[in-house]
Amino acid sequence: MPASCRWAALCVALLAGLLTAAACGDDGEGDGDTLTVFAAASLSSAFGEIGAAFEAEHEDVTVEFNFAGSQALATQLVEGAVADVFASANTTQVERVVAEDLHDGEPVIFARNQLAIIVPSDNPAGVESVNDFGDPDLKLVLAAEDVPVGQYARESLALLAETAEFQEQHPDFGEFNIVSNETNVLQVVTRVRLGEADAGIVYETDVTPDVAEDVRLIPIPDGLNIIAEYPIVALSGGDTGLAGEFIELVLSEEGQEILARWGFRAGETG
Amino acid sequence: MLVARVGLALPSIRIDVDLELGDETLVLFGPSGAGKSLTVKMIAGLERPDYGRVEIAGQTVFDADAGIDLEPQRRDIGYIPQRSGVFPHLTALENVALPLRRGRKRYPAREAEERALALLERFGLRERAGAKPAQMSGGELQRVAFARVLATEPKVLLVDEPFAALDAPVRADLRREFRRFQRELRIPAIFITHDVEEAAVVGDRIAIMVAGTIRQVGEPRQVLDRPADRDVARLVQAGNIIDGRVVRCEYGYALETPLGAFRLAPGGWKDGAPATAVVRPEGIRILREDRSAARFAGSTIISGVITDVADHGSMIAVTVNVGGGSLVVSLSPTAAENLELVPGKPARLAIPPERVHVLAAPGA
Amino acid sequence: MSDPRLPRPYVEPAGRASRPRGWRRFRAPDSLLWLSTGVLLAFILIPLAAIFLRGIEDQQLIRPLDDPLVQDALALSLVTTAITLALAVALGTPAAYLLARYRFRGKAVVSTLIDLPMVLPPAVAGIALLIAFGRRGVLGPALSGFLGVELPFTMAAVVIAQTFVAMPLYIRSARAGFETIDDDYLQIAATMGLSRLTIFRTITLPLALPALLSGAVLTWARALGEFGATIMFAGNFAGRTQTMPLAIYQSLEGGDLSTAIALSGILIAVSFTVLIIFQVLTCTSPETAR
Repeated sequence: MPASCRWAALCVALLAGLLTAAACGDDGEGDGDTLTVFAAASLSSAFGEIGAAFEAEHEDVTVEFNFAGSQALATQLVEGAVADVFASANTTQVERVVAEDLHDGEPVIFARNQLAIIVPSDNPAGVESVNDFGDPDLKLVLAAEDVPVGQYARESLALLAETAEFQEQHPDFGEFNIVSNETNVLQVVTRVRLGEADAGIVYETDVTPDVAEDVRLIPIPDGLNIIAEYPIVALSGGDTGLAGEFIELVLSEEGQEILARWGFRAGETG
Repeated sequence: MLVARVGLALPSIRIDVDLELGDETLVLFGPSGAGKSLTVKMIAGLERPDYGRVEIAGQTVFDADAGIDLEPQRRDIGYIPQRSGVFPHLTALENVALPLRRGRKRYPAREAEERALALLERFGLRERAGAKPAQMSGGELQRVAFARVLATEPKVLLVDEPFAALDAPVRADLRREFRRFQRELRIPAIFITHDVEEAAVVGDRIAIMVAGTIRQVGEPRQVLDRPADRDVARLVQAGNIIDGRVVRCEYGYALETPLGAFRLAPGGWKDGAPATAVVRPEGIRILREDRSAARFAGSTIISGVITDVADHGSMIAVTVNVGGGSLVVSLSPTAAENLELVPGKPARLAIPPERVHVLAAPGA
Repeated sequence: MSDPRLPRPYVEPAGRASRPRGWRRFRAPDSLLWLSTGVLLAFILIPLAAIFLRGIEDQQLIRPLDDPLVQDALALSLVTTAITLALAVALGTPAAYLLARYRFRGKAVVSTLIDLPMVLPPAVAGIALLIAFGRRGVLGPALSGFLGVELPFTMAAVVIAQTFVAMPLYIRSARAGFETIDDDYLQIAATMGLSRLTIFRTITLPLALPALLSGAVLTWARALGEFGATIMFAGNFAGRTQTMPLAIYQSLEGGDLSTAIALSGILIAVSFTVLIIFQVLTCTSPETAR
C-alpha cells in the first residue's frame, strides 16, 4: 500500500498546486496595487505612455493593459473577465458592456480617430487615389466586420462606391476585392508592411513614424472619411476609485496631449 | 552444382570460405558467431562479399573481379531463414502462391493457386491452406516455408537453422521431410545448424566453420570420429580429448598420457612427438567383470573407478576415473544391463587403437 | 481425475475487480488505474460537454448549419484537410520509408528537420511560410514571376500551412511502421524473385498499414485544428481561407458566442465521428503478427 499512497498523495499535491496557482494568479481584482485597463489595439502606443505617467503619479500602482480588438475585449468582459477600465474604438462595443450593466458611470468620448489608407512603400498595385479601389485585382486587406475599424472601413467604402467619380471610372463594379479579414488593426498594418496586401484601411494613428517608413499614405477625401469616436468607461467589477482617476488623467490636458502626439483627434473635452 | 569461394571482412569477423557442392546436403555446422548465416547470405545475394566468386548451376551470380553481382531476385535460390519467414498477413495458400504469381516465373492466378495447393498437399497442409500464421504451430509454419521455397523451383537450397525453435519430435519429422525433398529435387543444399546430432542426420557432408573459416569438411562419421583439430573436436562433442606424447613400445606405438598409455593403430609415428588424441565415448567399451579381456587383445585395457553415471534416455554416459584423469564412456541401455554401473564401483575399459584418433598437432 | 498430491493451479476468480469484498481486498494498483483514468476522462469530457449544453441552452446548435458562414467554413475545412492528407501520404510515405530502411550520412539531421514543424509554435510556422513564400518572400518573386502564382490569401496557402505542421506526424508514424518490419520477410521475398516494387506493395505496405493509418488520422486531426500558421500565411476570408478554427476564433472575437459554440460543436462532432469510424475499422481489420 505505501507505494500507492505516495502516488495518491502526489496527485493530490499536483491538483492542489494547480488550484493555488490559479487562485494566486492574475489579480484582475483591481486592488490598490494593480489597475487593469482593457483598451483597443489602436491605443497601444498612446495608452502605454499614459499608463507610465499614471504609475509615476501613483506610488505602488502598476497599470496592466490588455490591448486587443475592441470586440474581443467586450466579449471577454461580457463573459466575466474582470478589469477596471474599458476604452473602446467605437460605441457599439461599449454599448454591449453597458447592456450587461458592467459599467460604473457614463461613457465619455475621450478621443477621435480617422481612417487612413496605406499601401506598401513600393506601391506594387500603383494605387494613386481611392478610386483605384475599384480595380478587381487590387488586394485589399481590412479588419473583420466586428472590429470597429473594419466596420468604419466598410462604411467608408460604401460611401466611396456611391460617388459619381467612382461610378464613372468603374461602370461594371461588383465588389471590393477584400482578400483577408484580420482580427485586429495591427495585423492589417503588418500585411501592408510585408507587402502581402496591395492596400489596407487602418486608423490615422496606426501610421506611427515606425510604420511610416514602410508604407505610403493615400489621402481619403473628407466626405468619405469616418470619424471614429472612442468612449472610455469605468467598470463596476473593479476599483472604481482608481479607475476614475485614470479616466481623469486620460481626459486631462496631459492625457489629451499624449493622445494628440500619437495622432488622435480631441475627445469631448477638446 | 554450387561453388562459393568468397570472403568478407567485418569489424567483428573475417570470413573466408571455399565451398563446392554437388547434388547433396552440406551441413554448415559451428558455434554462434562463426559466420554461417553471413556465408549463406552472401550466396543468396543478401550480403555483398569483398572478394570471390559464386556460381549456381553453372551460372556466375557473383564475381568481384568481373564486377558481377546479381540481386537475389535473379539468383535461382530458395532461402529459409531462422524463423520460417512466413508472411504473417497472408494465409498459407497466399504465402505459397505469391512467388508463383509474382516471382521469377509468373503463373496466372488460378494456376498459381492450384500449384500452391498441390505443394501444400505434398506437405500435408491442404486443410490448413486458409489458415493464417498466427493460427499455425511452429512445425506447420516450417512446412509452409518448405512448400513456398519449392514453389520457386530453386537450383540451390539455403536453410538457416530452421528447426531451432521446435520440439524434438517435430524436429525429427521435419528433418526427415527435408532429406526427402532435397533428394527428390537433386539440388545442392546448405543446411545450417549448431546441433551436432542434427548435423549428422541431415548432412551428406558436414563443413565445420569456426570464426569465419572452414576447419574441416567430410562425411559425418569421418568428422565425428576424426576431428581435424581441438576446436572441431570440442564442437562435435568428440568426448575425450587427451594430450600426450608418442612413444615406441613393444607392440608398435602408443600415446603416453597422464591417464595411461593408449595403443595406436599403425601409422607414420615419430617417437617422442607430442600429440593430442580424441577418443569418442562410444568407442570405449566397459568390460564385464566375469568375462575375460581376450576378445580385446590388441586394445588398451585401463582400469578405473566409476565416478558418475548419467542416463540420457537413449544412451548412458559413464565417467570413469582412471588415475591421472577421467574418461567418458557412452553405451546403450541394453549394453548397460549386465554391468554394475554404480559410482564407486571399479570398471575395466577397453580402447581399440582404431578408436584413438590423433589430431594433427596438440592444441587448436 | 487429477492427482490430489499435485499442487493446485491458482485460478483467479472471474470478475474479481467488480466484486470487492471490503477495502483491503482492493488491489491498490487496480483501483488507482481506474481512478486516474476517471479523472482524465472527466477532464476531457467536461469542457466538451459544456459546449453542447450551452449550445442546447441557446438553442443554437442546429440552426447555424443554415448560415453560409458556417457552411463555407465547414466545407473549406473538409476540403483542405483532405488535400493535406493526400499530400502528406504521397510525400511522406517515401520519406518515411527512406528514413526507416536506409542508412546514410546526416540521417539524424534530416530526421530532426522533418520533426521540427511539429514542435514549432504554429505562429512561428506561419511567419516562416510567409517569409519564404509571401509576395516579398525569399521565393515569392520567383513564384509570381515564373509561375504567376501568389500564395498568400489562397486556399493553396491553407493547404500548405496545414501540410507543413501536420505532415511530420504522418512521417513519424509511418517510419515507425516501416522500421518494425522484420528484415527476414523482405529478404525472403527478394530470394523468391519478387521485384522491389512488388515487395513494397505486397509485404511492406500491408505490414506497416496500421501505423500508416493511425499516422493518417493524427495528421488529419492536426490539420483540422490548425490555426496559427493558417491565419498568418493564408489570411482570413470566408469561403477561401477561413477554416473552422478561424471562423470560430472570429465569431468569438466578434462577440458572436452562439455561432462560435455552434461551430465548436460541429467540429467536435465531426472529429469524434471520424475517430470512431477509424477505431472500428482498425479493430475489425485483419490481425497482423505484431
